[in-house]
Amino acid sequence: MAEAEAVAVAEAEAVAEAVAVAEVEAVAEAVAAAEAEAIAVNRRFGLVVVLLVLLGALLVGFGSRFDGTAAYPDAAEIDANYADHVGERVHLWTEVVAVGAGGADGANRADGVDGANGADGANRADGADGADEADSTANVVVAAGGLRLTVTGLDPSAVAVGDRVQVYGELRPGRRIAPARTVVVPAERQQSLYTISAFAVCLAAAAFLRQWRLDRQSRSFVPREEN
Amino acid sequence: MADLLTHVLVAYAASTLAARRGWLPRRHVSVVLVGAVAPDAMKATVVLGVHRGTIAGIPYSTWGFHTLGGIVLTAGLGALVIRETDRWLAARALLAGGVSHLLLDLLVIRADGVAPPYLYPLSGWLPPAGNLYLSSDLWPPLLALCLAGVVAAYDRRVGGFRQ
Repeated sequence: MAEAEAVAVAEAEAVAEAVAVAEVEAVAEAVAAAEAEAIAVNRRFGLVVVLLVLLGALLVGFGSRFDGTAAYPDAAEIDANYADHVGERVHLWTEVVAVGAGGADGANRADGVDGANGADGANRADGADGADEADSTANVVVAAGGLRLTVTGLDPSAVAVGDRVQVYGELRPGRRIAPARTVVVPAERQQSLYTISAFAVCLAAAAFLRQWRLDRQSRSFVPREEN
Repeated sequence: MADLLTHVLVAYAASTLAARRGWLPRRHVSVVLVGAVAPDAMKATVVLGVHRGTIAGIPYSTWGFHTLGGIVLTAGLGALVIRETDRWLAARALLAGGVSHLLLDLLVIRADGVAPPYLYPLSGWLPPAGNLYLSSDLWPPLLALCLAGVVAAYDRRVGGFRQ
C-alpha cells in the first residue's frame, strides 16, 4: 500500500513539475512574442520617420529648384514682381474671370495694386496700353490665384466665365499676356473631371478594402484571402 | 493630368494581366490601383492653395510628390501599413501603380509642349509632352473602360476569376 501511495505521489509530483515547466515556457514564449512585436513596431515607426524626413527634403528640394510647378515662375511670383517678368515666356493654368467689354480693362486700370507699383504706373502711360483701352472687343481676363491677366488675341466668343484656360505666352506690360498657345476647357468639362476622378478614388478604395482588411492586433492591413 | 478613372482602369488592366502571368499575387492588384491614384492626392493642396510656400523661410512645393522620388517614398510609407509578410510586394505594387500614373500623365496636352520634371530627384529634365489628350477629355476613360472590360472578360473566361 505504501508503495502504491509513493508511486501515486511521484506521479503527481511529475505532473505538477511538467505543468510548472509548461507554464514557465508559455510565459517565456509570450514575453518573447511581445518583445518581437515591440521591436517590429519600433522598426516600423523608425522607417515612417525616416521616410517622412526624406519626403520633407524632397518637397523642399523641389520647391527650391523649380520656381513654379516646372520651369516657369508661378502666378504668385509673377503677381508679386510683375515688372521683373515682363517679356518672359510663362505657362499658366488659369480660369476665365471676365469676358467681353473693355469694362474689364477699366477695372484693371483702377486696380490699386497696379497704381502702387511704380513700374506699372509707368506702363499705364505706355501708348500700347492706350490702344488697348480703345479696343473693346478682344478682352478675356483670366486669373491664377491673385494674378489677373488680359489674354490678347483670344476670341471672347470662344470662352465663358468659369472656363479653364491653359495659356503659354509672353508677358506684356499692363498685365497682359500674348499667347503662343491656349487650351480652353469649358467649366462643365472641368466639373465632370472632378466628378469622374472622385468616383475613381472610391473605386480604388473599394477594391482595396475588398481584398484587404485592417487587423487591429498587428495594426496593419491583412489580405482577406491568401492568393 | 489624366482623369483618375483612366489611371485606375489602365492600372487594373495591366496588373490583372501581370497577376495572370504570376508576376504578382491577385490580392496586390488593388494595391496597384491605390498606387495609381496616390500621386494625385497632392492636388488637395493645390485646391487649398498651400501647394507652394515657405516653412520657417524654407521654400517647398507639394508637386514634389508628383515625381519619381515622391512615388518611391509614398510607396514606402504605404507599404508600412501592410502586414509584414506582404510589405515588400506591396511597396513594389504601389510603385508600379505610381509609375503607370506618371507615364499616362506624360501624354497630357501641355500648351508649352513640355511635361513637368517627373524624374526628380534623379534629374530635372523636362520631358516632351505626349500631347495626346486633356484630363477633361472623355475618350481616354472610355477607351480605358473598354480595355479594362476586355481584360476582365478574358480573365473570367480563361482560368476563372479568382479574388
